[in-house]
Amino acid sequence: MKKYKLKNIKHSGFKTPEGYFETFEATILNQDKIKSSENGFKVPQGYFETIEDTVLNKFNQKKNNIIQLFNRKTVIASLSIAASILLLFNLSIFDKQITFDSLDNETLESFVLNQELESSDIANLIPNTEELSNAGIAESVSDALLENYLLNAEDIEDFLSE
Amino acid sequence: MIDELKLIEQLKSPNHKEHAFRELVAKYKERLYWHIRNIVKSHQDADDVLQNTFIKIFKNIHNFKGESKLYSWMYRIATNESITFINKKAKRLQITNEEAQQLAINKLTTDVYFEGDEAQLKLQQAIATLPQKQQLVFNMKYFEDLKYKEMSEILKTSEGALKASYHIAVKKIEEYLTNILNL
Repeated sequence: MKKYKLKNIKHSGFKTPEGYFETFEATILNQDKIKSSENGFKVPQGYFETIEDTVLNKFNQKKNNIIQLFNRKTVIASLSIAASILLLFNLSIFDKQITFDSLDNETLESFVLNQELESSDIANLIPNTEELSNAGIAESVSDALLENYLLNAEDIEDFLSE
Repeated sequence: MIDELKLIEQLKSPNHKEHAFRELVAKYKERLYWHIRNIVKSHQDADDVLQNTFIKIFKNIHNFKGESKLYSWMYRIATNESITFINKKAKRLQITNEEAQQLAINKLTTDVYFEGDEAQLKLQQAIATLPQKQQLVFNMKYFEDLKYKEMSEILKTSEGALKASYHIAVKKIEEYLTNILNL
């Protein structure tokens, strides 16, 4: 059997279309992908040569400025929040408890007049009169104490006249 | 070497990039074309891959660190682009890479840009039977006449391993051709 020697073949047999290499640069440079990196924007001449200096100069300038830990805006904002919280807790809007001491006579009088209360309405508020009599209110109040109260009560005459 | 450094510098400069790129294409287009053509076989595919290779070079030149020579970096890109092209083609056709290569060889008989005789066609068929790395080594040495040192830089493989690989490839091809031509 004849042994085949590779050196007999020196060329692959491939060829290219005529003029292929002559026009290749134009083909590749006209590629959109190459063009897209040249998007039409231009930079001033020497921009890229000086950009390092420009950036470094700006950086150094900023470094020399004193940077305040609290600036005016922060302080004003913090104070506003603190004041709001303080006001919120000091205003009596959450204070729902009303005592008899806090009622003055005019308020009470206005309430009675405007509500058109009848004596029967008041009687209805006391369901069991026996319990009231048994409570011993009369006994617990001495004559001297009652007299003293009536003498010191400034508005007693107003109530009597009405 | 000085020319290459200057060219790299210009390629990285926005003002000179296009001019330098034109020079680069003019200088390397033929060598890279034949490198790619020997891998992908058809002119149309080689043209696509060559254009993709130059686009990649253009877009990534700023990443070129100069650790290797410019030509070996470009050859590496061309090699990777060619292999990626074959892999994609095989995937698209749902066949193996070897089958895709065989398909490309079969098409050579009707390819107007293949003027090889029967022996040259058989040689292409023989190359297609080799493992991918051996195919690369064989093509680069036999057809492109690259030095082992250059191939070593491109393929990141020792010269000794490349020599061994080439001799094995030659032996296999000769065996294949002997068998097929004596049938």
